[in-house]
Amino acid sequence: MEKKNKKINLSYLIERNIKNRKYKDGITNGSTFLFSLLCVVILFLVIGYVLFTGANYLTPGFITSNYSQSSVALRTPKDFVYNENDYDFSDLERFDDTYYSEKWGIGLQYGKDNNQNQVIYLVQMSENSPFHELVRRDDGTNFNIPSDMYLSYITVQTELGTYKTAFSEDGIENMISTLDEAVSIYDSNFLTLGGGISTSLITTCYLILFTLIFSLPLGIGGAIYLGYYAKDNRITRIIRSLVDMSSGIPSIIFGLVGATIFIPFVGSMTGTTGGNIFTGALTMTLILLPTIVKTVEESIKTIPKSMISASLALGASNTETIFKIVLPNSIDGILNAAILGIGRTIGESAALVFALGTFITAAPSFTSGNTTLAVHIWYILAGEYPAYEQACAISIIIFCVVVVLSLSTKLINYLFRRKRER
Amino acid sequence: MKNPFKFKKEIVNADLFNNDLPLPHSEEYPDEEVIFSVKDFQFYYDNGEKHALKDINLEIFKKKVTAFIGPSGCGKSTLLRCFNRMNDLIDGNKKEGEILYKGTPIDTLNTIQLRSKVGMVFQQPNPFPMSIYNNITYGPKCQGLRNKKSLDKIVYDSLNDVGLYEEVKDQISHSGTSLSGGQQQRLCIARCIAMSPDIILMDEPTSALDPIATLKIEELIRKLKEKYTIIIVTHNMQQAARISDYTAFFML
Ligand SMILES: Nc1ncnc2c1ncn2[C@@H]1O[C@H](COP(=O)(O)OP(=O)(O)OP(=O)(O)O)[C@@H](O)[C@H]1O
Ligand SMILES: [Mg+2]
Repeated sequence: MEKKNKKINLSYLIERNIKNRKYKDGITNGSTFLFSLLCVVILFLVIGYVLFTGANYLTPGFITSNYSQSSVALRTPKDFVYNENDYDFSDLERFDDTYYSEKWGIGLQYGKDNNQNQVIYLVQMSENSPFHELVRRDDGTNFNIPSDMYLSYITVQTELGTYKTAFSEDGIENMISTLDEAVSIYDSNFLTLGGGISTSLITTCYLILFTLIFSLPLGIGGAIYLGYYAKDNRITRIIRSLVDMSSGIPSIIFGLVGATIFIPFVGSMTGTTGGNIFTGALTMTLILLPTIVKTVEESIKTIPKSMISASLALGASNTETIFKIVLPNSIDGILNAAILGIGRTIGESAALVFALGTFITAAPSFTSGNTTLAVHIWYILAGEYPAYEQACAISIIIFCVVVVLSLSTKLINYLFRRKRER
Repeated sequence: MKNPFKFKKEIVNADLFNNDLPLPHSEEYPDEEVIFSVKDFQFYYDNGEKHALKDINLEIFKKKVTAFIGPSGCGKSTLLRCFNRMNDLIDGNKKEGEILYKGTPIDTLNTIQLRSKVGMVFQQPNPFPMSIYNNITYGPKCQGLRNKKSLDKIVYDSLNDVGLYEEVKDQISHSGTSLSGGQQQRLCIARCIAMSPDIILMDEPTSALDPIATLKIEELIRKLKEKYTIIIVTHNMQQAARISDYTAFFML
């Protein structure tokens, strides 16, 4: 009797459960969908914000110019006399977007500096323009105005002997009318763009290069030891878990090590003081090693044992087997490790603040402090007036690199999987 | 495994498997030249916990095919891998007694030297993922042979010997892994004889192949024994009867 009852109950339970399950499944499905939607939306908001804020600032000038601004002050020579009849500016070709000073034979154009402020560029000069005669105010030498310098202000002497100044901000018309009154140029100030990232960009490339040069051989060596030579015993397991653990150490601690060990070490060998690209690369090497060892080891482990046995059975030594079988067949792991390393190096800031430097220099240097793009962001945000727009512009570059890197990882894995399947 | 014992091929017969048969010693077969002799050999795995080979006494005769048969797990592959010391690569292996190669204990030989004289063909065809040409020249190149002409000749001869030349002569630079299973196994044999070894060890070389490919390999083995000594592990009694001159029967 009891048994029968149970049976009836069971089928009832199942029936109830079916309804219940449908309901529960609905909730689970719905909520997981909502959560993933939320993640996607947040991601898009972040990317959208960065793109929206930074896109306008990401100009060729921003990428190619220096962070520091250099200026030059020019004037007409002391014995300069303006004589209208001396000059023939008929060679000056006319363009619609350019304003011309008929008196001085020059063409001016609007441009933007790296803060998106309006500036004026001297884009054309007649063969006969007196601007060719301009000399530096400090040493009186002749100076060819480079095309990447803009005119920030100009002070002229008028016929009456008074001085008049026209600023870039006040527009080209004002500047031209001032020039029309001038009989000589007393002071014209040309500036490079400034606020750009060229040094940080180049330093980042150097840092990546040296980091890979240091870390790949070491990492591949470690991976070969763990994946090929090491016996499966306690010591190996300890080493392996240490490697695992050290990939979780916050990078700032490695930065500390870099500052306290590598800076004096490199300094004692090369005579440098403070961080430079080498100390930065050594520190990045520490940060990357666990990841590289892991990635390459995984890849070595996927090589069929039979292939290695075949090589050894043919009388190949371990070294030959490593160079002819193991490494060629784990090339995808090595490439992936290199790509991971590049990504980490581009993104790292905390450790490099200590180990590389924070001062944005005028040119990449192997002997003194430098900044990478990520440290550059840190630097321009850490000041009194955080430059969010420029930071976003740099972030766009980093985004693009990261996207390209992850796409190339996908491509590499796809190509190698196809090769293996064949 | 206990006492393997050997038969002349003609007396391979399930009814006759008993310990009364004469052990295959050179005294019994005075015409044969001994190339490997195994003396009171013991082999252990897992730091001596697993006694895989027990008191093996056996001789391998030159330019003859010796087949190892016996139930699964009785240690045929283990003994085979002892001949070219591939077992040395396994952690926790231990051995007692000795194996003499032409009178010299193999443990005193350099493994590279030994393995270039004692080739091995595996159960699963395992060509390298490189061109057929590079597969065959792999061994000679590792020994330092660089001369293009000699390498070409080795490739031609080895492929010819295994009857693969006509089949693949237009795709010498294609990957070895693109061949069929049977062709791959013959490529592996070609790769092995490219080293001009004395002995070829084969561990169930046909178990992954279809009957026709199997027949081709068997034919090849019969042909190869004119030049090489062959030791072959097989599960197939008929195969052992077809191709071997001597058979060692292993018991658990
Ligand atoms: N690497 C190893 N580590 C530990 N034990 C092993 C190892 N290889 C083989 N053995 C054990 O040694 C014994 C003999 O194995 P072996 O592979 O030589 O048998 P076999 O005769 O070749 O069998 P089969 O006919 O199935 O290939 C088995 O009990 C096996 O479990
Ligand atoms: Mg076996």
